[in-house]
Amino acid sequence: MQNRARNQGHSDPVTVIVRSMTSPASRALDDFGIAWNGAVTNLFQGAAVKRELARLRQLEAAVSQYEDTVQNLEKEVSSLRALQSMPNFGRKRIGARITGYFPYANRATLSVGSKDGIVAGMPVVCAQGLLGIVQTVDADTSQFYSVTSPHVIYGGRVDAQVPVPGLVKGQTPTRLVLDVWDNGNVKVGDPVVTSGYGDRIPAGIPVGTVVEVVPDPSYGTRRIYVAPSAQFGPILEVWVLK
Amino acid sequence: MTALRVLGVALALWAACVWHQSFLGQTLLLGQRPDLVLVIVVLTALHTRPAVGALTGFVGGLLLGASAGADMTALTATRAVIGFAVSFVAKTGFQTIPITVGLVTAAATLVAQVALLFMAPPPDIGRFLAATMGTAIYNGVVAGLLDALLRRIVNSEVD
Repeated sequence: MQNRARNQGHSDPVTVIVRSMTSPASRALDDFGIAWNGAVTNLFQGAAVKRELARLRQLEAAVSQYEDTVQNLEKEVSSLRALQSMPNFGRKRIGARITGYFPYANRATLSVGSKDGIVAGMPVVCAQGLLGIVQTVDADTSQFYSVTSPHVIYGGRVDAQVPVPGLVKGQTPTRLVLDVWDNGNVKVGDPVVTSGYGDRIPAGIPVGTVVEVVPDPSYGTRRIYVAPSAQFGPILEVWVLK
Repeated sequence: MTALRVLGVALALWAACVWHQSFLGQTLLLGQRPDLVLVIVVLTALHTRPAVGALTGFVGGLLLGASAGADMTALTATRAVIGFAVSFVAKTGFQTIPITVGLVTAAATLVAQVALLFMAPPPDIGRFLAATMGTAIYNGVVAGLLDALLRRIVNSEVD
């Protein structure tokens, strides 16, 4: 009967009956077995799974760190390209590398010193503009104040329709102050550059952008707040203008 | 056998078939797996008359063959013969303690599978024989453990 049914391409009646009695239960047993197997796996392989999870998390962190590294390198490359293509403002450029940064003192150390012709008062520029002014010089290294330091004062001007000169000094890490006496039409968004009224710092180096103008009629002055265009961050390579 | 005992044996055979048909039943333990249908047949046969043993073997073979899609003729024949033989041997009066039950089950498994080998030759005889050895050992162990449980269902003194 079994062979005859098989030759006709279907199951024999006994097989059909028996399977209808056993198949639902065997499927339920399989479901139970899968659940049991999962539970046993969790029980006995929990430590291994935990280790694997930790390993995967480490990999994820490494990948994330790698992406951050690539982004930083890309920023550095674009910064270097911009630095390379920036004008020399009529001075000789001395390439230098920032080897130390002390944010609370607004100071940074450069890899060049008096042997390279560096003297105090020279401007340190990066692709975005004026970054600082050299303060102390040793034979092989030098240190400069960031433009955001209150100790740094230099000549600057607002590049408005009628240029307005004044004195720029640092105030906070994100704000500079420019005091002017001229009654020119200064607007928020106007660029601020160095004025060149001095023997060390040439004219035209970008300093920042006007973010606020506060007039003081009683003294006939205006206080202009400027957002610095150059700030420490991924910048490592700079020029010292000699 | 009373109706309740018949029902008990039928349920045991059904459960064994369900186990055998499920993926869980196909899972290898140390490379082998037990044949629970044969274990139920042998245990029942040990406590019943030869005719009942043969009938149990026949039904077990039928269920196993149908659920597994195997050759029912060979399975029913070998299991019926084993059921009859085990029951016949049990009537000679040997003591049915777990060890002897295990040994008899293991021997019955070997004989049944060898008989099956002749009636329905598998493609790989060597592997079949190796699996038979493992199954016989498993069956012997399982039968010894189940013997105590089945005694509550089937009372050979009544039959």
